[in-house]
Amino acid sequence: MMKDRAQKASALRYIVAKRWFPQLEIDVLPKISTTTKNKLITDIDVLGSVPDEFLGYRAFLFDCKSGQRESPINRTLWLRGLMDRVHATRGLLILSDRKDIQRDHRISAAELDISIVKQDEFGILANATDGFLPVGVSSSVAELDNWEIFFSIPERFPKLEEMVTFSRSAFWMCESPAEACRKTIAILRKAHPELDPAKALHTALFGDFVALFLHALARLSLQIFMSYLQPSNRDDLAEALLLLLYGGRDSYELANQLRKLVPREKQNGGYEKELTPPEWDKFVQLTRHILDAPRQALFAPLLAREVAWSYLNGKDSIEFASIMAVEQPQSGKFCLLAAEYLGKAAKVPHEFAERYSKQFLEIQSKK
Amino acid sequence: MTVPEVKSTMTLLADIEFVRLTQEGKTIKEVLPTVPYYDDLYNGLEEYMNTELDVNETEKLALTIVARLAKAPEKIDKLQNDLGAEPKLFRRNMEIGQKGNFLIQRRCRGRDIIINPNYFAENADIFADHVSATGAKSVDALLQGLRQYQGWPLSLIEKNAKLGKIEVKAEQISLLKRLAQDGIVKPPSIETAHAGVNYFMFTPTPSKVHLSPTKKDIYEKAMAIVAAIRQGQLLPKKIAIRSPGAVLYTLKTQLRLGKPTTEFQHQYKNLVHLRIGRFINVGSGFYEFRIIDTQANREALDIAYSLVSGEQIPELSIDDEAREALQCDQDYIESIISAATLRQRETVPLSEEQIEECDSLILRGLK
Repeated sequence: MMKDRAQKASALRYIVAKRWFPQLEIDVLPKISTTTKNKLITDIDVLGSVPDEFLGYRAFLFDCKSGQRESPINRTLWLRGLMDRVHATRGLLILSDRKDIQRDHRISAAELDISIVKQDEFGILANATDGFLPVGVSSSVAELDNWEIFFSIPERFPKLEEMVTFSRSAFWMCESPAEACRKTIAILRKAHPELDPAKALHTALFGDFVALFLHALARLSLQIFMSYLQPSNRDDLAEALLLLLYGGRDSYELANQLRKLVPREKQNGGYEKELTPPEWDKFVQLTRHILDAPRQALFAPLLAREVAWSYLNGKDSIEFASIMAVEQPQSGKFCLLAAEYLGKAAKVPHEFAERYSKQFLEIQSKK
Repeated sequence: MTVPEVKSTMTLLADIEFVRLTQEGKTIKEVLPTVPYYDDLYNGLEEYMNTELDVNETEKLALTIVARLAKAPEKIDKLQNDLGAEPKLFRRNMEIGQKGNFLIQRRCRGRDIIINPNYFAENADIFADHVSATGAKSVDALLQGLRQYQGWPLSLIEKNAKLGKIEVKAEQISLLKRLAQDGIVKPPSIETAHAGVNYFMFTPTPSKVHLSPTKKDIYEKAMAIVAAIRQGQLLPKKIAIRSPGAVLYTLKTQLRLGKPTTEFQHQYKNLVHLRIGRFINVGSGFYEFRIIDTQANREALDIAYSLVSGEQIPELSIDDEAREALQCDQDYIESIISAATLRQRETVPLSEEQIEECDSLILRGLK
């Protein structure tokens, strides 16, 4: 059972209502480890990725404390350290109603880009900043129970543990969108023999990876957009994208040389292909589509996760997803193309991508 | 090996007449190897097995498994249940089979699939995935149908949901389509102005172990010939071939097609690329198709004829070149060793899974 449930549930609903991309219970790992066992530093209760059309996303940390022991200002200083560690720009400390907060401490916290609120004050914040879902609309991502089902996937399918761990920790520890992008494909590709489309939890997990992939690709595409807008020539885009993906020319050349050392059967009359991620043409195409509306692409991960998580509880409700698709009309298309790309690139059974394509089409056509 | 082990091995080899022993009492003084060349090697073993050797339970099980998997790959647990084999014995058999390369295991959709690489080496992943999704029976039934109607065009199967006169289910058509679209080894295709691109479906090509490189080329030529004939039979522009057997018989015996038509060029274009035949212009836009008379082309025609008439493919497992090399003198062997085909094989290429693992590691990268 999760700790501080009520506060986390409020934070989650707030984030989803604001159309930010939420992540619960992120394990923070050391950047450099010298031991074989990765020792946790701490965990982030709730993180919201706030779309920013210039930066990609800004990270917003929520720290939930229902206990009485710690002083608010001490917790604030701790949260500031954590924010610096994960490059977050804002923090919110949600405390128990019984806790006494000094007014001067509130100001000191605000100077450190952190707001302190009591649990019953959170409603005021949400109401005043449009942070609530319309009456009668429910979102799968905003349901705390769904998060608990998601985190318990490894108990039922131990071989999928790496995927779930990646989703709640390793992905968020990546230093660049390129690294996150490559690792998402690689982790899914590694797990592909275990994934069975007949199982709802597997389908949800694949969809979650589509969301993570889009989170990384939206940032990467924005970098390209800020530098080249929309390259008119396919080769220009492909080259820029490829070098960004592998962390610049030097590391690309190195990886390419390493790859060439692997003896493989020569194909196409001995012509050796240069290093690219799998299904490269589709990858370039997908990126070019995103360059048409890079700001809308920042909202696509939430849409993808919302659809994916309807498989966790079997409710199959796409009401909130449809609202989002209306607000950001291109985001459904990005989700569809990303699911198709990832399905092919990671070699998962084709039913996964087909199922999601159908659903995203349905959502788009409901407008 | 200890002395008694060597002795018992020698006695066994002498029993099969692979060596001649000179003995004094019980002491072996001299060993003269008389291992027969390719074909006879297996005959001798078979004879010995039938008359002298009692096949033990493990061996009997191995033979049953291999024979069963020749029809279609199967899920391991289902195979074990069907055979009613003792679990320990079955597991040992699987282990020996994989180490001895007469069985391969793949994991798809969270299930373990076992494959006989002699029959399903190419596109093993697609077959494994399909078996894990729909079961072995569907694949077995489809392959039985294909054996009867080799080289049937995919578009026609899809349109009529029939393979010749046999009904095929949607899932079986989807397997055929995946083999044509995603297969590592694609079936032969012909593009014509009137019928578009057509794939012609065959039962899986016997594996490299079973088929030597020289024979493999011949088999591919045979498939191309059948594809060309089926095109004329089933998807003609004007005049359909009524009896494919008769056309192939004419080609086999006269090495030319007597009545030139205007459709020739598209239909037999691939055969010209593969250097099986060429067009002779006989005036007024008509061409005659003539086979280039070589030993390989004649063999390919023989195989094509037997594919269409549903016979077993003759003599595929013998590699003539290897046999001649073993029987001829030193010069001939040297000339083969220096041949370009062998020079290309200096480095041993990694297996498909190993390459995939390397590619995934590079994709994942460090940062």
